[in-house]
Amino acid sequence: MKITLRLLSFLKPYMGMVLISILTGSATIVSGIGLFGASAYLLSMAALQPSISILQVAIVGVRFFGLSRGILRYLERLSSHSVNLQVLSGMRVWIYKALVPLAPARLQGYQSGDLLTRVVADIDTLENFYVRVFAPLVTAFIITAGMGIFIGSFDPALGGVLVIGLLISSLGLPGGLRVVSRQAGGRLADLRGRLSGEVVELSQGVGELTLLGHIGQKVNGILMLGAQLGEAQMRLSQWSGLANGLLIFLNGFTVYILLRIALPLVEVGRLDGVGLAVIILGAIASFEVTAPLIPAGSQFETSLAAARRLFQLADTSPVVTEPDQPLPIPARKDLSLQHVRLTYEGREQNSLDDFSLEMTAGQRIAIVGESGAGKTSLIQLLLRFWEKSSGQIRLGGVGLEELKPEEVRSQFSLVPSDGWIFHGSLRENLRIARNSAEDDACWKALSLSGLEAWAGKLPAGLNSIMGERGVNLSLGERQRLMVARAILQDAPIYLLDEPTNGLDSITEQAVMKTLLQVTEGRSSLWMMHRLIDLEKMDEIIVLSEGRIIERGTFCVLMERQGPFRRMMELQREMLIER
Amino acid sequence: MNLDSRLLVQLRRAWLPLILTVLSGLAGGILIVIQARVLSQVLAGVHLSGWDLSKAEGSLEVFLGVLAGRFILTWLGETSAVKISVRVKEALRQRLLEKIERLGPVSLTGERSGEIAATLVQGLDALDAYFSQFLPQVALAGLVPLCLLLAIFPLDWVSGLVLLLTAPLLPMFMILIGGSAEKMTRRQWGILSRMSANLLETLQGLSTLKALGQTYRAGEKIRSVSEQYRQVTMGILRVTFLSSLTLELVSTISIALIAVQIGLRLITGGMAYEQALFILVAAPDFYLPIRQLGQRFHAATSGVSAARRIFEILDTPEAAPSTSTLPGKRFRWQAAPFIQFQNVTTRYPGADENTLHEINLELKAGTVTALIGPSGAGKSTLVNLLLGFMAPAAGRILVDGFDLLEYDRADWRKGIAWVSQTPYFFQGSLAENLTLGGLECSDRQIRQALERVGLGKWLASLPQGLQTQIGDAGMKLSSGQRQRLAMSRAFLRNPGLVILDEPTAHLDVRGENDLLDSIQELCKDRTVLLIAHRLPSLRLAQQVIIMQGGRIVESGSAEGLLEKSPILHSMVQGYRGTLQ
Repeated sequence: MKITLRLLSFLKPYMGMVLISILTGSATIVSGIGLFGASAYLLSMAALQPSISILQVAIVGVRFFGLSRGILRYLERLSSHSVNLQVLSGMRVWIYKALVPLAPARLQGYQSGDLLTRVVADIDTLENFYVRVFAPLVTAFIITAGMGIFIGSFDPALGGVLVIGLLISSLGLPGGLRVVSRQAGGRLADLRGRLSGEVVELSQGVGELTLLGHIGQKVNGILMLGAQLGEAQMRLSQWSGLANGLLIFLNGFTVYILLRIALPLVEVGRLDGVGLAVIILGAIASFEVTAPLIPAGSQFETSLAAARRLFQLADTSPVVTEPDQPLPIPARKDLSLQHVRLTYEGREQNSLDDFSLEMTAGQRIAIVGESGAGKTSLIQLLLRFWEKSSGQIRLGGVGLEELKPEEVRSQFSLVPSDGWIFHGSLRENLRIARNSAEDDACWKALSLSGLEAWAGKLPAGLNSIMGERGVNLSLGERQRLMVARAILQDAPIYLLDEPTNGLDSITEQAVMKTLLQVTEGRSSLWMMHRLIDLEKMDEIIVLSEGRIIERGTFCVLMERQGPFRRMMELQREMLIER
Repeated sequence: MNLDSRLLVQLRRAWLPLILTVLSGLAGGILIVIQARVLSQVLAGVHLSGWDLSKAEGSLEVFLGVLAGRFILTWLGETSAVKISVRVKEALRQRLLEKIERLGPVSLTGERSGEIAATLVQGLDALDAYFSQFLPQVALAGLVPLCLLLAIFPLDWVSGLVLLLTAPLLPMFMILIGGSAEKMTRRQWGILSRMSANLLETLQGLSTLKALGQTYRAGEKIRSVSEQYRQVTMGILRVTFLSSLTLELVSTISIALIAVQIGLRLITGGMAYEQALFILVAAPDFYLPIRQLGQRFHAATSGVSAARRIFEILDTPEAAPSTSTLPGKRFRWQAAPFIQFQNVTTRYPGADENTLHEINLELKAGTVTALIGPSGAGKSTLVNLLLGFMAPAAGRILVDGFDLLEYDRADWRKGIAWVSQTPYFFQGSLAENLTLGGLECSDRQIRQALERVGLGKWLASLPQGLQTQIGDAGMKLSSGQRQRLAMSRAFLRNPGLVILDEPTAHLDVRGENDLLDSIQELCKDRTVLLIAHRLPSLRLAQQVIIMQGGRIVESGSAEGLLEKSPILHSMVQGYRGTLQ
């Protein structure tokens, strides 16, 4: 109930349009009832062969309802879809705003893409909530009440029977269907998921499965799952077929009861044949309102599940909180980390443990280690994406937690290892680093990052569209674009997170050369996976499992027969990567 | 063959439910006529002939009976309609799976494997709309109106004519407006999906946006993009809904027309009240199935496009000649085989260029050949040839002097162990995974195999030992562990030929060198093709081959090449970094 109410609160800003769509929706049904009621009146009066003038009103009525119904339906569909789109657009902005403070710490599990895809799919699912669930239900209530009063005015018992018939069809049947088919529906979803997993395994592992002689068994397993899926689907269709059959039956049965009650009334003269025809045909027409509600039951269920997931996500509290009274960013840009520890929630192992580092302005420091050693965690802390578990991180002598997170981030020019290229022009992808950047500045950054020649060859220069369906960037170009962004950002401290990740050795050397030039005379912190150009660093810190195991200058570390030296030797043995 | 007819051919697997669906639709149509008849009889009897409840009782009973009949027929119709698509999907699923089995890994690389998996699950489900909704509705839209026309014409040919003349208007308008509306709807769907893609992209790039301080602007962009799309979509809907407006108008106006003209003839006594009522009650049921057909037509189009993808996969050309066409000699594994490539040239199906160019190569029995080359050099094609996943376009591969193509491939594969960079483990216990393919090994042998690859301690640390569940829902394995498990599987198979892709995933300081000992042991007395990535493993090889662009550019002993080969020299330099 709570979730439903919260879901409905998204409709609030568009109440006017909601009202129009429900009114036109109800009026459409009323027109249908009017058409048949008036026709029934016309025919049954005409059967008594009166003068034609008596029938004029009825004829006009029939023609009017015949015309109005189509037009009202058109208006109803337009207004309800308008509400839908507005709600959807509102929800998109809402979920985005809710996720901003949560990224990336609270979205760890979501980062894989699959779960974010589900967030978007959930929003799309809710698209149907208004048009398919809410509006038809409200319309059904309005029509039920109206018909109850109208038919009840002939005789209360007749009104009562019709109301009961309509209520059972519009609430009881969909509700009942939802309850009985929940298990079959759940089983269907479960089987579908398992089938999907098996099929992915098959298509990825087809080579080894063939070689190991296991493929026939695998295929048989999938066929069996498919057969079970078919059975589950059949079972579900039994239920929905039952519901649709019952709907037709209920519609007719209501008419049957109405006839049984009405005939004695005619006999005693409390109702005439004309009224009887109007009541029966009107009642039949009113059942139109129940037809869209059968599928609404399961729609409602999936909408609720989607809403529950979204609300739960949106209600998550962020990891990093803003200070109530933030201090201004200090003028000095020295970075100092003392005994910093970071333990991610739900994990026992420290991702960073007793990490200390002093970086005065203009220094170059490299941090090396295998993936998982804690390099990324360090970046997360500096960018205020995560909160340290203990220790001190200071910028110019002020603790990071006393500064506004956004302002802290503005102090770093980041070259990420997996930066995101947005679907948009090259200019947009650059100006994302600095909104005010003129074309001149963009070209300068491109030239510094070694992309000038590449950009010059693009069909539309800075207007060329990047990303999917646009210009495809090679890994090297992608990484250089990240460098160009960092240059445009022009923040006091450069953070380089495995900046040559995924590059071949020639491109790697070129990108490193560029980076070393750009960061000349500035503070820069280098997270390195491949061990190159380390002799140009003021200090090298070797991390393993979150702990510092060695630190010093290149020469010192090379002389010592420690872990760093062993890493260098292992790298030397490499011929080529995949 | 035309797509629709290709889809319809699938129905031969589902003729029984198809007939049931159509028959229950037809019977339903007849019951609708009877129901309208009985109802008008009662209303007319009460109105004009002074019937009371007892007189009407008989008709009311028939009415109830008709209701029960319609209930059962609706139920039956819907379940058998679903059965049609379940049957068709089962048949197509089987054909797709068999096709995948025949295609093998050669045509199923990377993105394509994801696409195929999606087609096998979501693609097949999309056929529901076509087979269980659209197709039966075509029958209903033909049969039910026909029943009603047959009942109405003898009573009043004028009303019958109105219905008969307006009926074709519906599909005509549907096609007329529907054609352009269809395009617009598709455009609208395109727009909606692009809007979702935009949101997804922004969410995926949220960390980047945050790091760059652009979250506010991105939020504004989502708002403006959604708003813009809303306006465009509304513009489109205004037109597309016109089609439903026309359909609605045609049916309601003609009902109104019929009502008024029979009303006027009632006054003059030109018609009986009971018949007039019957026509009025029956008229909406005349239009209903045709209108529903229009609604389901849209849903069917998604099924048709899914079918297109399904047939595309089924029509994919296959790389290797399938075993069924070649009976194949039995291959008996005895010792390590001697393998010769003679002028082997390959081309992938559908490709314009050859992948391998006239490869000549000998893998001497019981020796190790190391293969080096950048990605795209043709290393995996060579592996695919050896595994029998593809056949040479020209040239021959000889095993102990006989053409590999003549042997039964299942027999041949039995003696091969292949350790890939991404070994496959399914949902199941450790023991099951290691003895995949019906290997019969004792627990002791499995333990030994695990110890040989340095996983003895790890195994001892597992509380459930060999019964530990691995795979997606089971224990997480590191890439190093996966590699070692694949090697222990290779030991258990006791192969004559070993194909091994050396792990490069991580520059792991600890333990990387231990693996080399296991590799060495696995290579003993076997014919081995080793795709090498590191210098030490090169020293295991009696022969080193360097490939580039589908050709063997250099070959010789490791020592010789390291000293003289400029290519190998530059490869090593590229990865040495700055250590001098």
